Amino acid sequence: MLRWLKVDLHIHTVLSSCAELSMGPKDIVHKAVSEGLDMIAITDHNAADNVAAVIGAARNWPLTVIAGMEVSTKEEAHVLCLFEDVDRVMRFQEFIQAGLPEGVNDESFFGPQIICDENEHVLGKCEKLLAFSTRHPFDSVAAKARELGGIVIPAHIDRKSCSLLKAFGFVPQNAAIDALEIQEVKNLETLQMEHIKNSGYPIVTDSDAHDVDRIGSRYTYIYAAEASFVELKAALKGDGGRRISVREPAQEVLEATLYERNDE
Amino acid sequence: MILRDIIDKLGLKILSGEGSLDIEVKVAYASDILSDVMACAVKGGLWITNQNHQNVIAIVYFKTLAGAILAGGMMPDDETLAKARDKNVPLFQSELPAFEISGRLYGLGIKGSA
Ligand SMILES: [Zn+2]
Repeated sequence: MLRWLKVDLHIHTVLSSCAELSMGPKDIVHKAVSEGLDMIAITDHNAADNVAAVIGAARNWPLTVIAGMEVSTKEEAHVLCLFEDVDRVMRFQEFIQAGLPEGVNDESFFGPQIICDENEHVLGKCEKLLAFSTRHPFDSVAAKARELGGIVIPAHIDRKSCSLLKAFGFVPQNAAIDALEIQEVKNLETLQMEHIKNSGYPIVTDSDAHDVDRIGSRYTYIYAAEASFVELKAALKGDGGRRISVREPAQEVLEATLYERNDE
Repeated sequence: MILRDIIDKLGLKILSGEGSLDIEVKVAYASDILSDVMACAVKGGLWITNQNHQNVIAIVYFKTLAGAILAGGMMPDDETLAKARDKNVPLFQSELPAFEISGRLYGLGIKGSA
């Protein structure tokens, strides 16, 4: 039975030096549940060390957590890469971090990069220069993610910096892209976004939360059988009536799904 | 040439780092690929770019460059500018396009650094 679910595929933790210290696993899970989200993805900059902790923190909650990363490519484009499990994202992390510049994170400049467990105990700090870009270009990053069965979503393409659209000048056709993320749905009305809307890639919108209050501020609806990575992938492809929407599905559609649920 | 004189001659706007303008600059580098700048820009050199995000500041800071010139009227956002001022990172701005800035610097005897 297909139903509408609320997902946010772009959330940072305390591992991202730019994130608030409030972004511990439990806080993220509690806020996501209270906002009525069914599924979130953890996407720290060029790292995935806290993914397992958030999955652990969500164990007894009605929330699915996807293993992800927000990669900064050589072209300064930010790209969300999502995977089926922790093992895959950690293999992907090895590839991405091998391309980071040499050097140690300067906490006084960037802030700390904290690795923690599901109970928010500090396990250590990542010393790598996660705030910089990997030397792998977009095509290699996307190819590696695909090789690991991952989903590739260029992030906030309507932003003036750190966006694939800004870096490339236009969105490449027939690339290894599963969806495009926009920050403001209303930007779809402008001319270039009109072109993007017609490019054939599905559009998603996410919170890109760096502090707990942002969680729930933006999300995407997916029409799928359950909140899982596999169902998300199918919804992005439009398999078997599955689909996604950045706008609230028409009220009657929501009601119809409620009746369907009551019928079960 | 002394950085202060370069700023005068090119009519650069000083956005931050007013306290460190009396150094001698011999080389410069122009690129918008930040990983390339990380690899190739030389300590004490100037950097010409169309990028305006926070990592521009980080690179000037880490590579101890004489400063970054944001070309073509690019402006950093408020957060980036606040960070530059906080860390006293020299950041300049020009309405001229990157090619024009590079050409004028070369005319002043500044050489490419890579
Ligand atoms: Zn982000």
